[in-house]
Amino acid sequence: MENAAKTQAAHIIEMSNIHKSFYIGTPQELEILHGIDLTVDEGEFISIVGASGSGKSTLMNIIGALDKQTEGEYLLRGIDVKSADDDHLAEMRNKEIGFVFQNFNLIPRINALKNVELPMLYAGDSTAERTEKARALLEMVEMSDWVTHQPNELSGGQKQRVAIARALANDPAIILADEPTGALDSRTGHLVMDLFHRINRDGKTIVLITHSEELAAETDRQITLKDGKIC
Amino acid sequence: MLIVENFLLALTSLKSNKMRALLTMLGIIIGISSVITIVSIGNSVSKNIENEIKQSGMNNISVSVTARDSGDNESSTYEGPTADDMFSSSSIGDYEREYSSDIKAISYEENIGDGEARMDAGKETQKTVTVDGVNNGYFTMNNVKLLKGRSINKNDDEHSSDVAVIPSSVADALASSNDNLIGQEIRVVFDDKILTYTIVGIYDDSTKSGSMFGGYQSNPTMYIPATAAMDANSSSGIQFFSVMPSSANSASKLSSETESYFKKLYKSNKDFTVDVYNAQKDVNDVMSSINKIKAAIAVIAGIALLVGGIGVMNIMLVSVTERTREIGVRKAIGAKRSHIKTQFIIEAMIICGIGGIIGIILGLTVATIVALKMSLPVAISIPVIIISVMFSMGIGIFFGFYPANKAAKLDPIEALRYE
Ligand SMILES: Nc1ncnc2c1ncn2[C@@H]1O[C@H](COP(=O)(O)OP(=O)(O)OP(=O)(O)O)[C@@H](O)[C@H]1O
Ligand SMILES: [Mg+2]
Repeated sequence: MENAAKTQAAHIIEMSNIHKSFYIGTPQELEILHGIDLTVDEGEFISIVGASGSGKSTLMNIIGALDKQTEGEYLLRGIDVKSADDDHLAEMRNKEIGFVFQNFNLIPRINALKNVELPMLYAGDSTAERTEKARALLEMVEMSDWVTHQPNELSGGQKQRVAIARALANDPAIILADEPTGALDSRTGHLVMDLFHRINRDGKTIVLITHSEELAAETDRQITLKDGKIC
Repeated sequence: MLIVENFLLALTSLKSNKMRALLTMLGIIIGISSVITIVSIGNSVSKNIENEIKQSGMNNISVSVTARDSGDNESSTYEGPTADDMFSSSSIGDYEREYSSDIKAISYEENIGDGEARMDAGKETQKTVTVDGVNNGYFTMNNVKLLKGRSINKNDDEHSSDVAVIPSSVADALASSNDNLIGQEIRVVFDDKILTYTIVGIYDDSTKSGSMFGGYQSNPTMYIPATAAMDANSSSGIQFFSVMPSSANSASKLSSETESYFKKLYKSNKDFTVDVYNAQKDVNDVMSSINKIKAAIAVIAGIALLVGGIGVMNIMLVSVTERTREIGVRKAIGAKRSHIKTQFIIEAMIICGIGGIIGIILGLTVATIVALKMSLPVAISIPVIIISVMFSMGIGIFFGFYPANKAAKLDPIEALRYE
C-alpha cells in the first residue's frame, strides 16, 4: 500500500492519450497533438526532439500548466491540471514549475536580482527572504557580479543564467526549458547545459526541448516527436 | 508588500517614458488645478462677503412701523402713526424679554439735531455737536468704546434722565483735561431751546467706526437717553429699531419670529403694520447665486478631469499592449490575475496621484495669487484638497480598471507568443 503510494508520487508527470487542437476560426479545427502518452519520474533529465512544427512547444505548454489539453488526462504531481482554475494554475506554475525560454524573457527595466525575486514575490515571501535566496541563486549560476544589472546590460549567456536562477526561485519540482541554448553560441550553450546537469544532480526533474542531437544525447532519455506523436 | 513593489515598478516604468507620463498627467493636472482654483476663489469670495456682513452688521434685523397698503382706497388722506401705532421703550422691552436668548442687543435712536455745546467749567469755546438719543443696546450694537464713566443705561432711559455720554473730541475741545469731566454739566444751545445734561461718560470718537458710512465728515455725536430726546422733540413713539441677534446663525430664525410676533400684535391695527427686514436674506440670495456659478464652473472643470481620466485610460491600454509579453512572462512564473491587475491599477493611480498633487499645488498657487491681487482673504480648504487627492486616485482606479482587467485576463500563451 505504502509502496504503491510512493510509486504514484514518483511519477511527476503522467500523461495519457493527450490530444491538442487549436480552433482556427469555426468550424475548422487543427489537431497538433494526436494522443501522447508520457511519464516522467522524479529526478529524470529528459529531452524532447523533433522537427520544427512537430508540436514540442505545444506539449511543453501543457506540461507547464500554461495551456490545457483538449482530450486525455494529465496529472502534474498527481493533480489534474485540466480541472484547475486560472489562479490555481498560476499557483502550480509558481510553486512546481520553472520555465526557461529560448529568448530568456527577463522582465525589462528591473535588475537581475529583482527578476530572480519575482516568483518569490508572487508566492508571498518576505523581502528579506527573497533577497537572500535570489542572491544565493545568482551566486550558484555565477552571476553575483551582475546582481544590479538590468537585462539589456547582459549578454545572452548571462541572461539565460539569470533566467535559470529565476526558474529555480521557488524550488520547483520541474524545470521546463524550451530550446534554452537556441539563441546562444555552442560554447555558451554547453555552459548552460552544464548548469542543467548540476541542477539535475541536485535532484531536479528537467524537461529539455532542443534541436541539438549532441545536447539531447547527454540526457537520460530522448523523446522524439513526429507530427504530434511520440515515435 | 506587493503594493510597495508595484509602486516602485510603476515609478520605473513611468520614468522610462517620462514625456508620455507627463502628457498623460497634464490632463489630470489641468482638471484638478482648475477645480481647486475655482473652489478656492469661490471660498475666498464667500468669506469676503461674510466678513463684510459681520463688519457692517448686516445680520441685524430692522423693525419698523409702516402704513398698511390700502389699494382700494387711494383717496384716503395719509396720517402719520400715532403714539398707539408706534413702539415704545416698554413695548420693545416686552419683545426683548420674549426672545432674550436670541437677542444680543436692541438699539433705537431719536435724533434731536445739531447744537452748540458749551461747558461752564471748561474753556471759553463752543463746539457743534449732534445730539442723539439712544438706548443702552445702541452702545453694544455700534461698538462704542467708552474711555471714562458709563454708557446710557436702562434706568436713564426709563426716567428720561438728563445725562449725556460725550465724544472725546468734544471733551478735548471744551475742557483742558477730561479728568474731572464726569458729573460736570454740558449745555447745548439749539435754535429754539437750550438743554442741559450731566456728563456720565466719555467715548472714543477718534476713529470713526462703521465703514459703511465712511467718508463724509459729520459733527461729533453726543449721546443722551432716547426717552429724553423724545421728550425734547415731543415725539410720541419709536418708529424704528434694530435687533442684533446673539449669533449670525440665529438671524433668519429670529427675523421670522420677530415678524410673526409683531404681525400678531398689529393684527387689529387697520392703518399700520410692522415691517421686519433682515439683510441676511439678500445675502443668502447672493451667496446662493455665487454657489450656483461655482457649481457650474466646477462641472466644466470636472469635464476637464474626465477628459484627463480618459487620457489615462488610453495610455494604460497602450501600456498593456506594449507589455503583453511581459504580462505573459509574469503569468508563466506564477502571477495571478489579481497581481497583474494590482500592478496596472497602481500605475494608473500613481499617474493620477502625481498629476493630482501637481494640480493641487498649481491650483492653490493660482487661487492664492488671484485672492491676493483682488485683496480677498485666502481660503485654503483642507477638505477640498483631501477630496481632490482621493478623487484623482479614484479616477486612476476607475480609468485604470478596464486596462488592468484586460491585462489580467490575457492568456499566458498568447501573451508569450505576442510579437
Ligand atoms: N495558438 C495556435 N493556434 C494555431 N496553431 C498553432 C498554435 N500554436 C501552435 N500552433 C501550431 O502547432 C504546430 C506545432 O507548434 P509548436 O510550436 O508546438 O512546434 P514546435 O515543435 O515547438 O516547433 P519549433 O521547433 O519550431 O519550435 C505548428 O504547426 C503551429 O503552427
Ligand atoms: Mg517550439
